[in-house]
Amino acid sequence: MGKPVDLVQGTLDLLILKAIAAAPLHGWAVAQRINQLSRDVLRVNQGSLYPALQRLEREGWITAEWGASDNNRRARFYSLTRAGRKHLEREQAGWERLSQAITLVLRTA
Amino acid sequence: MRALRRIRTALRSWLQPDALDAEVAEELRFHLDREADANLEAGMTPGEARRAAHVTIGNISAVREASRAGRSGAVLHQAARDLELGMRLARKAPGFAASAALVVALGIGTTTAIFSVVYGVMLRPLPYDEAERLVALWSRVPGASQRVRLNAADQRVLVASNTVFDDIALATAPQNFNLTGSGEPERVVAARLSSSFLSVLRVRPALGRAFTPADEQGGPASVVLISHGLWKRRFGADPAILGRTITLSGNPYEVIGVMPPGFHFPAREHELWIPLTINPRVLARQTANYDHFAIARLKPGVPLGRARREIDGLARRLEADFPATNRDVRIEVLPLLEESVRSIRSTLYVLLAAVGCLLIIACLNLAGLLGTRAAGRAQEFGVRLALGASRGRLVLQALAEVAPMLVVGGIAGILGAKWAVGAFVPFAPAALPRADSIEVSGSVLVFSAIMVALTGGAAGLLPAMQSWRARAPNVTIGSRAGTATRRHVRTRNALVIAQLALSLPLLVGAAALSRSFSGVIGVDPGFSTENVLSLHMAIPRTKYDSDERIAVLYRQIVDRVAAVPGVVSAGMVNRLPLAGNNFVLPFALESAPGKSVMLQVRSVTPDYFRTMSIPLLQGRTLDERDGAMAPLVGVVDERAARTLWPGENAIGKRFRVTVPGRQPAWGEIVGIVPRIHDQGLDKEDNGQMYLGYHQFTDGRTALVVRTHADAGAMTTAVVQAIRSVDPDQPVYDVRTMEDVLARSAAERWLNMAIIVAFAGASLLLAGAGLYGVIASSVTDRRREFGVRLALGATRSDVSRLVLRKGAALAGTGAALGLGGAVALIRGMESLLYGVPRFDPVSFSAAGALLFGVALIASYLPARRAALTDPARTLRTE
Repeated sequence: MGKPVDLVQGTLDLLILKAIAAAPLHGWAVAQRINQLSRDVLRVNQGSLYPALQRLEREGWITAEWGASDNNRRARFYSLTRAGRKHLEREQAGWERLSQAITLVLRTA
Repeated sequence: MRALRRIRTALRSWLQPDALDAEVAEELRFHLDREADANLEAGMTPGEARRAAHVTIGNISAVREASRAGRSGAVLHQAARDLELGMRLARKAPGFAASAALVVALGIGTTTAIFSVVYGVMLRPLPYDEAERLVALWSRVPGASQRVRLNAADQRVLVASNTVFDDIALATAPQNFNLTGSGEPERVVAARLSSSFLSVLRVRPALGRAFTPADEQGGPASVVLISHGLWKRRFGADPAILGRTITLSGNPYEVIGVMPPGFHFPAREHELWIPLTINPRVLARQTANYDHFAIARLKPGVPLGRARREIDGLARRLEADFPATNRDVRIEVLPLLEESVRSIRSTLYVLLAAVGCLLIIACLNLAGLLGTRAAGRAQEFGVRLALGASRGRLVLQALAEVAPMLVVGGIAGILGAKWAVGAFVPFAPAALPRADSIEVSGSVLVFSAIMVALTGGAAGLLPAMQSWRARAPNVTIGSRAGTATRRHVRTRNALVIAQLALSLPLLVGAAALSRSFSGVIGVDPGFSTENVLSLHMAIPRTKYDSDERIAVLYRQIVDRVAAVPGVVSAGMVNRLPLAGNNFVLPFALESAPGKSVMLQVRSVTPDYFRTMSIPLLQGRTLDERDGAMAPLVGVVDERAARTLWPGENAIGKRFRVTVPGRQPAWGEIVGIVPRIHDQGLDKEDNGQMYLGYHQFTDGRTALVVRTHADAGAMTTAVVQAIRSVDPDQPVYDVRTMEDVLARSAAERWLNMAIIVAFAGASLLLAGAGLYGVIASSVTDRRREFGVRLALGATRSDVSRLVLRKGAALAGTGAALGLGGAVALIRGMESLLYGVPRFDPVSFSAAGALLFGVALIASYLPARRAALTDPARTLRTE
């Protein structure tokens, strides 16, 4: 396992949306999930996680609700709204095109 | 849905910031605990687990801050806190806050008041549906210097062949009627309207019906529409008025409708409307008559330019078809609004320019005040910057601190303007059109709010810039607090110079207008106004159906009034001087065949000249010998006598004139009187021809009565004498001649008063600004003065130093203001009388005033400077 990679500006939103696409998660779990899914490569800084969550909530992509966590404590669970799901699809498609393009350039050059 | 949620979160963060903070805190705590739990599971000791969790999370309060700043309500929240701080600062320095608010109130109040007038008169749409499509049609005929109205025969052709107008309607006005029956006889002003007139304006009677083409043909009964005001005043708002018959000048008219309350066409005084019947001889072009006020409504989507081109083409076709009557006759199309305010526009522009100057001065003054305060707080800003405040925050705060004064001053100014406008409108000079649409309306309020914001933005910019420039490293503990930097001093000097420079045009304008006004009221009208009462009468031709009968009535009235105790003499004239009426007729002269001159014609009774104290220069006056059957004779004024028969004696000269209602006749000059100012103290006319009342009998007359003492007190006795001749005869516009004279200069007085008030206010502001700058420069230079005094300078040396600085600022301001003064004077040339455009007196008076105020403003600080105690200042430094 190498050094954790810093996130490219703007990709955090995409990752958060993806992380909660399957099921509502609370903030800590969002960070964990991104970490897991990336096989420990991506580590989300809490300092940017919560502002990002609030920003997404303000944009209307996600909603938050207080619920009980697995160890039975009050936690704020974030889930995707319908607009957020559409947004995610759009962003994901955009990202895939971009990364393919970059890969293509890197391989051929 | 999304928008709704966004609004909800924004509102929540604005209304319950604490609840949100608590939620964030709880969430972060939860995160911390979970991180620690995970660490525990990974095998750390509880203490290590917790510490490691803290390390990964980092600065919790920074996270909290970041999430707070990210909320949409945060900006509002911050602004509210800045405002609160502003209020606290204002309470701490009430004197400063009050003077700043006063400056704002002065600037906004005057601007709002003037803009209300400009908006109400020039910009506010006319109170008709789609008023922007309404136009007026005028003719230009050869030989007349001004536009004339439309010929009804031309209107018929235009209606039939144009493609640009929905319709073209005609009106004539005014016409006097004596309304009698139920109560005092009353003179009412009427207008005649063609049947399409109201439909072109898209106005419907509030009660009853409008005119139909059948009414225009002069059906079996005469019909009338009455105004809402007349209906309420005279008929107690009786809904059964429809179908009732009222007596107008002795004839029965059936009331067919009541107009809505806001309808005043063509002017406020009109209260009756009757159908317009057009003389068939006019339609047959046997006589040209450019008497009809014509309005038209553009078809939807037709631009004015196209209408102008088409109407011009039609006018040329008329010229080809009817060369005898329409040679060189052109027809113009003007927007109805523009045409109704043409006369007043230049005056309003001058007022707008003047109030603009005043507002800018207020703005600069406020900027100076705020700048001085901000300079005093440069250290505070520096410290806050050093502690990590962003420059943007400081600027926002500087602006927010101005807000309370802006709001208070703005509201006070608008309320003041509302009061002033309300007080002014009833006394608006008659020359001001659309006075009743002047009010502090919604649009005016929007304008004022924008002006308040602009004022605040502009004035707050300076302290904001200063906080932007505040530099943290500059701050050293114990540096001399409150000492202005060189840049601050330069800025403040520039602000004061600009205020002085802008005051100069106002001062020059005020001086020039004052000189014009005193010149105008100093003009000898050519008659004596002292102890003279005047009133007007309209004699109904229906009741007095011949010139002879009217002349008999006039003679009876004059005799009866002259016999009233206290009356010296009484006379009549068909148009009272200085009352804004004229009556001109073309005269042909025996000495210059083929030429005719337009002269003001007056029909007078013998004692008119004596009553007005117009002396006889030569020949004889008119008397009872000059009866209806006697040879026509005239008395001419000396100006006309000189211009018509230069170098000759006018007595015995012959002229030919067609007096209305009579055959053309030759007449002879029998007397010469001095000229009088008839159309205005500041206006000259071609000259007057007086004819005897038997030889030219007008149905409209003014009675003038010279009394032994106070003329106004004789009103009742005079009216009683008239009623003893005819109890149904109303009188109107009863005024002493002194009042008539004053009213003729009222508009000029008002212009002068407004500009003088503005100039005074600007001088006050600029003076206060100058005082502030000089006073703080004295404070800053205390040490320098101490050193100078210690080294042997005298006290007067020191005070001269300060006075010289005041004079230098005033001089620079005056020099810079010269250009503005020239521009303003050029713009108000039409308002000047007897004053050259670049009047040296006005300019030097304004300059002297500016310097005087500058010296007064510098005197107190100069004295303080001179009283500096060298020992004390040197010791404290």
